Amino acid sequence: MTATPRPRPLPLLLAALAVAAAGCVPTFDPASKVESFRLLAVQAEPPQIADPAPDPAAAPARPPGATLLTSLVADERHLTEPGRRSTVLHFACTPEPADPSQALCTAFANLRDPMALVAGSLSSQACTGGVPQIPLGQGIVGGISLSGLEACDGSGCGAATIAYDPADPTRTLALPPPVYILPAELDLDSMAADAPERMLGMNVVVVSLAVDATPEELFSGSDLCQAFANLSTRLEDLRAERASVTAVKRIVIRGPDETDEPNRNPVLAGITLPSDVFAGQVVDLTPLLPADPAFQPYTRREENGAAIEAASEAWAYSWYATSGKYEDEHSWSDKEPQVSWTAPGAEGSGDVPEAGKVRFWVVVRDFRGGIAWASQEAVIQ
Amino acid sequence: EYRFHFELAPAPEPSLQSDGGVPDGALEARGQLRGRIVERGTRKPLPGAVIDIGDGALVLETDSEGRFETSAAPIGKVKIVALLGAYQRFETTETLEPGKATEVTYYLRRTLQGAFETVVVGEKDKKDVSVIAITRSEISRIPGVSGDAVRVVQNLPGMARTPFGAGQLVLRGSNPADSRVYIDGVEVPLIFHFTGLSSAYSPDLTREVEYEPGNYGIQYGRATGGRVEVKTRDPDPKSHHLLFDFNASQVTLLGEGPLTDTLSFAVAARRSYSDLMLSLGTKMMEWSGESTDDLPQFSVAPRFYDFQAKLTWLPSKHDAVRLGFYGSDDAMGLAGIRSNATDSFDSVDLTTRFFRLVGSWDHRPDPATRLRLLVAGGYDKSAVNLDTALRMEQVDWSTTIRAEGFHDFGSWLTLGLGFDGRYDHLLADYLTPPIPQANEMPNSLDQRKIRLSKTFKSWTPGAWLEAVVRPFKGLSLVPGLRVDHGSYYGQTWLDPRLNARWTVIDGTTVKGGAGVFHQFPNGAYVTEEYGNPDLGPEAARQYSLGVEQRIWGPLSVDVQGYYKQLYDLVEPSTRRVERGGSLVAERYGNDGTGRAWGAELLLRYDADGRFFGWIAYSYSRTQRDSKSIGGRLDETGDAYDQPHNLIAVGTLELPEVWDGLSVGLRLRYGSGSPYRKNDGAIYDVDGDYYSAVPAEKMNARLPDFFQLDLRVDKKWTFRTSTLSAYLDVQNVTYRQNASMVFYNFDYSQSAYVGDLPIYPSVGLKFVY
Repeated sequence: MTATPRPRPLPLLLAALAVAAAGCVPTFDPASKVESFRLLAVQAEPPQIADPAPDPAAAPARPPGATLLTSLVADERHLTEPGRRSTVLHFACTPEPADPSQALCTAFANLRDPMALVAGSLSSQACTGGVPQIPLGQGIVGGISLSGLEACDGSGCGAATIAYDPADPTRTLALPPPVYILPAELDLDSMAADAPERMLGMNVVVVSLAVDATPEELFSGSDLCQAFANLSTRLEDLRAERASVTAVKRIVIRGPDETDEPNRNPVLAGITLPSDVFAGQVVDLTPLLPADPAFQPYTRREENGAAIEAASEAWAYSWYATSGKYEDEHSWSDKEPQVSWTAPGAEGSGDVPEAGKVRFWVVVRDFRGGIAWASQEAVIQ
Repeated sequence: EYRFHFELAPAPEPSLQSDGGVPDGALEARGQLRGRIVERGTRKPLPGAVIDIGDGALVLETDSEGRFETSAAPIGKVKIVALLGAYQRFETTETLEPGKATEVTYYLRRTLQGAFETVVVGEKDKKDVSVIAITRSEISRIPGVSGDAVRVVQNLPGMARTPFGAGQLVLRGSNPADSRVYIDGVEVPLIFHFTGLSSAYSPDLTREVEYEPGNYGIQYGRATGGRVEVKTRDPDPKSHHLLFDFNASQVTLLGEGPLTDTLSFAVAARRSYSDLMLSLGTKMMEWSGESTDDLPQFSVAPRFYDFQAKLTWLPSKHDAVRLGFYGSDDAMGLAGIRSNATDSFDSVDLTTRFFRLVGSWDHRPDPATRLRLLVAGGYDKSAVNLDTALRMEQVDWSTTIRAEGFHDFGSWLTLGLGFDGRYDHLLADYLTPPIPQANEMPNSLDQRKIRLSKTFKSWTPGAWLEAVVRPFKGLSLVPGLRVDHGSYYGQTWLDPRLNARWTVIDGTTVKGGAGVFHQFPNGAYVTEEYGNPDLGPEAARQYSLGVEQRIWGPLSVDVQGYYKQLYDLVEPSTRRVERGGSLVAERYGNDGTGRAWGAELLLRYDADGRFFGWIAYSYSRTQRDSKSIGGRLDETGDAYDQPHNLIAVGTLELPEVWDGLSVGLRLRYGSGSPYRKNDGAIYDVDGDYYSAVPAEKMNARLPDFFQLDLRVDKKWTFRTSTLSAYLDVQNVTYRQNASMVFYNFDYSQSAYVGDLPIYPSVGLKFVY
């Protein structure tokens, strides 16, 4: 007799708890262990963008209309091959104000085969005199656009210079860093006065394709147009043979009525850990913050945009290492930010790697789109 | 069905007179003897027992109270023998003196399962509609149900197997939320406590459990699935009893008996002590020096309790007035949860509680008329709190009214008319994330909350009319019409139904049913905050056809086929509609369709004193035509599309080995549940988790399920009490059945999550 709203969420939750209590859940290697090619983060700087304000003098000031994209790729092989290169491509789906729920880049139907999505975005690019007319980074309202490509190695990811012609290695293309630029025709100020998006904003969805292949393996042809034309086929072939990760990152388009200050990325200065780590040693790792870390205030809101409460950011730290074992994979700024890590050589923490080194990463998130990271290497004595 | 037991005895001499006396002058000296014959252990009066006094000198028979009396007994040392079928011969010697009355009570020990015992599992001819009724008499000794008669429904055809701990009812392919559970006609929110190992109403106060997996009668409505109803028993009006039941997980206390000649009472209470066991286990680990750091910290350790109180007043042969008060409370709280998610909650609090106060009056103004009035007040509370991430609390005060009457217009026609209504006053306090969009990756940056803090008042009256037409002997046609209305939903519908039974020849009955069934959508789906206030009711057309055949003696078979057409099911919608002058997401629509079909076989061997048991086989298929993935609050039945389910249950008495010993087994074999294999996974950078991309359809199936349970019972029967001990071992082969698929962090590896491991349970039950 379901006479009034009575959702019944309990049975499966209870079943899951019962099964967990019975100790019947299998165990796998944790996410914190970096044993192969991984994409750990993508940062948009700044994490929040906006269209220009009709009144530039209005407070709070709006963030810019473009943001830079940077990836964090981790690979255990960088300990011995720091020059080993891989590639990350970024594509962006821009929403339509008339239908903020459009899900080009988040629909399961498209994500089952993201290459079809990518191929569709590239095939529409015009080519003039062997030079592709691709406005890299320029968003397309209701469509998907190419934001750019990064080359990654043991020192990080950044703008790529690609020797795209196998027949002539001197012919190179220097690509700018990946960027997303809000299209001018996306005008949130023109939305209806009662639209929740005026307060809550909307999201640009970035699909990042990281593949364990060099930019030259992906991008090759006798001219740039052919290289771009080959890109989706090469990408598809290489993703089938090599390790790859498909990731989704959201860039927040600020609502014109939002009253909070624009969101900024957290800042991490590094990781505190002893200079020497002994095999089997238990070490406390702590994220190193600037002297005055900015935990920004913001407003929690209902679905219709109404304020629920004022809140302050609480950051979550995700920890990774190429070997050893973390007691906890995550820590939080409002609890105990440090984590305990056991160096390889102890029971349950694996063997000391041949490289005799370990690399740590910590990625911090503010859950409002802000991301930062730090990395450090240590020698195992 | 009746069975008669005959025993040869010397012909009484002299002949018995109706008053227990003898002809004048037959005996020169006479003694007075009066007494009672009762069952050993239970003190149940035994009518019809034969008392042989003095080697046939005098033979008496006990009355309906088990009493006998004579003033013509021989004097001196007199041999007395008491006989009754299904009971051991009782023999003793009394010294009778002339002119002195001797009063005795004889306790007869039961040898066989009673010849007049109700059939354990069988079709109950209830108003000419086929209902499977399960009585509690011996069913509590079935392995794997821990002495709980209500859990026996899980071993009948038409019931899909759900994961250990879920305690859901998936009947003939319906969604778990589409079937209803009643106690004496009053709906309750759950039938099992958490873990699904115990029913929420004491099995010791349960008279029978009615089980209708489909095509249920017109007296019930507002559900497109099936019906399970616990029928409670009346307290013993003749003698007082105490019961103490103690096993590995819970303890039960029960007391009952007469208060006056017409008024009797029963009270019972049960509490689990899994919280104490967990605490003890943790202490033992600490004492042994083991680390308890990785154990969950219970702020409220998992526990449940339930209680029942019942008064029965029988002021006349035509009236029965009953007052019942019962309730159930499940709670658990976890703190300091250490999970591997960045946005995890570190505490969980769950509470499910309900109480019911029920008054009923059954009245028979004349032999052809039956009237019943029932009024019940209810309190339901459910609360789920996941730290600050989610809060769902609701309290529902309800009133249920049932009034029904039947009148026989001769042997060919019975008419029934009834009212079945409920009023709800529900206070909901929710603060939750939005329900994720169907067919899309969830948005980890979406920090919006839906706040629902409202009082809902809803009146859902229903009325029904039923006719039982018997045009000729053996054939019953039961057409019925039901109308339901929901004031909150603003919905009204008519459900016509027809059931029929035709006993073609003695022992062969053909039966069938067809009907329309409607139900209100899940309440949250019709709120403006979560769903679509314009949703209509969900509906099903159900058809069934079967035959019952008595094969031989206690052996019979029941075969049924069914087809269920589901339509107007609530489905996630991507449409945008105008509501309140604005264009908004519709969220849900009545676009879903589906079907379920199958065949069920129940081969049963009724209790014959040594053995009872049955084999239940279900071929069951269920499909939904939905193309949506996710976006729902509730599960759909196609997640339990298990084509084959075979259950064999049997219990054998072994008095030759040890008096009171019985052994039983339960064997279950079934197809695994289907699931969607993932088409890869996407890393959500902002939330730091991988989101699986499910396949468009269910394209894989868990391995087949097999489980063997064994049970050994030993019963000691004392003069006025019994003591039973049992060992019940579930999954004795320690088979690792798969209940779901578990993945590693990026969904590149998977393994099955095991179902119940071996689960032994030891119990003691004392009954006075």
